[in-house]
Amino acid sequence: MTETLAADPTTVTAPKGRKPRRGRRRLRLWVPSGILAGMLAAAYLAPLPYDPAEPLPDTLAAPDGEHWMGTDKFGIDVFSRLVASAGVDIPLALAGMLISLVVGVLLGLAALHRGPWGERVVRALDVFQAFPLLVLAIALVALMGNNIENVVVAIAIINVPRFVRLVRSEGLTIRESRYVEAAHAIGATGPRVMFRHVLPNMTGIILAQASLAVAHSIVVIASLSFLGIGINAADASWGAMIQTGAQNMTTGQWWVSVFPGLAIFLTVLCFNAISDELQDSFGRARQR
Amino acid sequence: MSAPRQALSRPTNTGQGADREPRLLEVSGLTTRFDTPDGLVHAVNGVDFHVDRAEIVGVVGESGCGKSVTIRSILGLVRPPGRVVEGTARFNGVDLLGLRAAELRRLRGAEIGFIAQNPFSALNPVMRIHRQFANILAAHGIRSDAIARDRARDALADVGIAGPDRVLDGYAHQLSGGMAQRVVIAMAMLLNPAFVIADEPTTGLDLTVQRQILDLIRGLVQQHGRSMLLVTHDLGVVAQYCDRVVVMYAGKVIEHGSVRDVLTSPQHPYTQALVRAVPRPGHPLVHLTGRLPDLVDYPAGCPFQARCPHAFEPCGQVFPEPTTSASGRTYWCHLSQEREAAR
Amino acid sequence: MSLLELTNVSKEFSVGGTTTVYALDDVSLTVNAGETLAVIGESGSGKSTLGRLALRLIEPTRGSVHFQGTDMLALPAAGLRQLRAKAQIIFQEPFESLNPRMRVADIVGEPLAIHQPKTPAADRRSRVARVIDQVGLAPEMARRFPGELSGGQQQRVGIARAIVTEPSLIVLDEPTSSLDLSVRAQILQLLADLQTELGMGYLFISHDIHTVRYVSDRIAVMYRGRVVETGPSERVFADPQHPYTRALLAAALPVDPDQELPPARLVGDPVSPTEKVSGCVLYGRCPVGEDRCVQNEVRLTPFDADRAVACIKPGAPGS
Repeated sequence: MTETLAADPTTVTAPKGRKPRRGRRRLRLWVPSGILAGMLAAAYLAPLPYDPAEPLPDTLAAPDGEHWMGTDKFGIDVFSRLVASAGVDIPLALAGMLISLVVGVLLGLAALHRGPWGERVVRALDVFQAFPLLVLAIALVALMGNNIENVVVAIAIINVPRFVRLVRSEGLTIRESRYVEAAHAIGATGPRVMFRHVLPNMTGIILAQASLAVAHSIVVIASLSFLGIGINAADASWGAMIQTGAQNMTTGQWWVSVFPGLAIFLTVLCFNAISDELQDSFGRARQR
Repeated sequence: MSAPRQALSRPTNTGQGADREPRLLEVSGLTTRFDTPDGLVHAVNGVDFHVDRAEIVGVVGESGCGKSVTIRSILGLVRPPGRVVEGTARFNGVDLLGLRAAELRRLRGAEIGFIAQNPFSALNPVMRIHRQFANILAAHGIRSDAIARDRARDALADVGIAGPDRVLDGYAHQLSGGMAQRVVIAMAMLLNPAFVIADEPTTGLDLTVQRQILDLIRGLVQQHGRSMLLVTHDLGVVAQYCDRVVVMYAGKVIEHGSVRDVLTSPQHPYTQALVRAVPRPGHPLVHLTGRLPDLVDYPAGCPFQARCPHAFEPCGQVFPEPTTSASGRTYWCHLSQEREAAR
Repeated sequence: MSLLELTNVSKEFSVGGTTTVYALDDVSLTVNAGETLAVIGESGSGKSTLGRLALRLIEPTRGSVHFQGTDMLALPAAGLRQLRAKAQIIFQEPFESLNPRMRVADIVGEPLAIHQPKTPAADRRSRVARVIDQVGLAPEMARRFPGELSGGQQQRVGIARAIVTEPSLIVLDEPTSSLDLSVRAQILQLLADLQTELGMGYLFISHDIHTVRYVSDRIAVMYRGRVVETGPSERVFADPQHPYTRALLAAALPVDPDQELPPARLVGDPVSPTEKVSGCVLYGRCPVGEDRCVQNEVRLTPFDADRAVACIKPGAPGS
């Protein structure tokens, strides 16, 4: 008994995708990702101008056409060592973050359970996070043994709380959403609701947090190696490079410390930018 | 898209119109855009309408039709990324869009009262109600607290609040939705404005309270010979409370005229669809398919063409010229030209 | 046997540990197979709580809920999950009720994945395609995400999800109130067509009188957690007995400007739902209220063969 005023509803299509500004958004994600990928590729694949561990007779040479970033007091080419360090520091941070991501997300989901335990987990995290995290990392590595594996473990441990907190707080919100209620209404079981409906809707914000965690981890690794903890002095690391050049700063050979400092700065900036962009695009998706 | 607009601007009282009293409100060519990450949103696209003295004009349309943006543009309340890019809104002959922020602020309240959709967002949650009344009066030169309190008490009595002192000494969150809206109405009427703009004043209120609030607003407007622009999506509100109505679609006015003309014999296919979409027992439900055009990639011609059962060739090319009847009802549809030609 | 039977159901929520919200107070009603019972009321009347209680999405404080003769409150979790294939819900907010990360086909197919896991995936897929077509969506919509659809299309997806397991009862919680007028009519029509086709019973919750009048066989008028009047909708609309029903009908503004508007009858605002009311819930706002309205409990009592009113002087002149 209805009179239809226009074409059949099945022929109705959604409006054309909005393309004009998407490019700019993509750029903000791909430029920092590209820089980081470039750094890693250079570290592993590119032929370095000099051996990053082999001292040359030319010590503390200023930057020039020969040594783009000069040499340090042992005569090691700063540029070559800087590039090689990217292949150590970034993967370490990524590995630590990945472990904390998995552990943190699982703990966070567990903390979502109704009852007193969720609250208790959060209280325990409060105590844990009240510790200065760098001191904690130093203590952990010192306790567990001074090697690279333990640096990864320390990075993982200090990053776990942020994921637990994030997953729990996001989960508490999503759990109250209409689509979760709808999932219960169609007879979905608890695990199904958790892994099909709750978790997928926080992946964006978890990835944003993960990127932030890597940025933080880069700084912690640099600090540890600056202090000579965890990473072997023979291995290339930005923190150790800064340490090597520290005493030369006062006598004018700034390049030994400043370039690795800039490398840390650029890396952290890239991970932060990626995080911001993920957070932004996730927020936009949620507003629709 | 502004090309056909030029032809539409009626001979107004700008320039040589000194022999005629200017209209209370005359909006012409109003165009507002929003520069969003998704592109330039064409929210209001060359809107013309007017409000005369002592009449209530309804602005009706569905979400996304630009009705709220239109009144915000008039009141100077459009915030970036929104921008009024074209047009005039003459209030007693003065173009509101050309005024400086301070001048406009003085006009709002004193000469134009505004009743917002959500009373709780219009009231300051951490300030006692009497302070808020006093602030309005202070902004317009009345600084005595005693006078302010008397004026506020009178204003609250006018909106049917029995114990005004209790309300004045309290905070917004202590009020029910209906009471809060009464307070907002009292504030809007406080400086005795000749013109009131109400943006969906009863949306979100309980049904039985809606009636009370609408009756109250109409009473306050009519008693003092005020005029009102009433924005709503509810055709029932238009039918029962307005004298004239402006129907908007995709940021354009597509029909306006007296409420009786427009609602009992709608001429534009969109107005027709809107009127017939109200469920009435014994009447078949008539519905529209499709959706609002993309306001970023705004279509050429008539914005309703994609959903219009009568769309034909010219609809996709230019926005139609207006057709005006003897009673003053105007609508913008190519079909009318067809009909004229057939005659 | 009724399809759904709620008997003396009450629901109290505790807010912040100190205040109690009396959402539902001793409500009884039934929905028969194939019919539409409309529950009409304003915000805070408890009608949405009622809809969720009917499906045991929340637990009542007191009372019983029977679905096709089964005591829903006695069912263990697994049995309740099974029953959900037969009793479904459609929500007010179409977008919020769809998982933004799932494609339309997966959303509509999920109830099948839950309730018919042994059915071959290909059969489930073709069933999903059929239902998507049945609710008037184009086949290519199946691959879209909810954010890429219009409000009306999103609600069609919600409807498809609800009917894919061929339920015998659907609770419709204001299914059209967030939609624009022109879209609303399409959805109402679709719901009516599906009911005729599939013979489902509807518990239709709404505050819109025009809509209720159009869709319902019987109505229950709710105010402040109680049912104040029930009966066949034609008769209730033609001759309302409770003063609140009269006021509610008067609040529906006719779209015809020539139609006379009945005078507004209620004064003031509804009482807060945190107050326990004895006597009539409308007392204080009622034009015909008197002392005995608060002195005794006022309960729903039969008015005639198929109507009931909770008023000590139903149809009183002047009300």
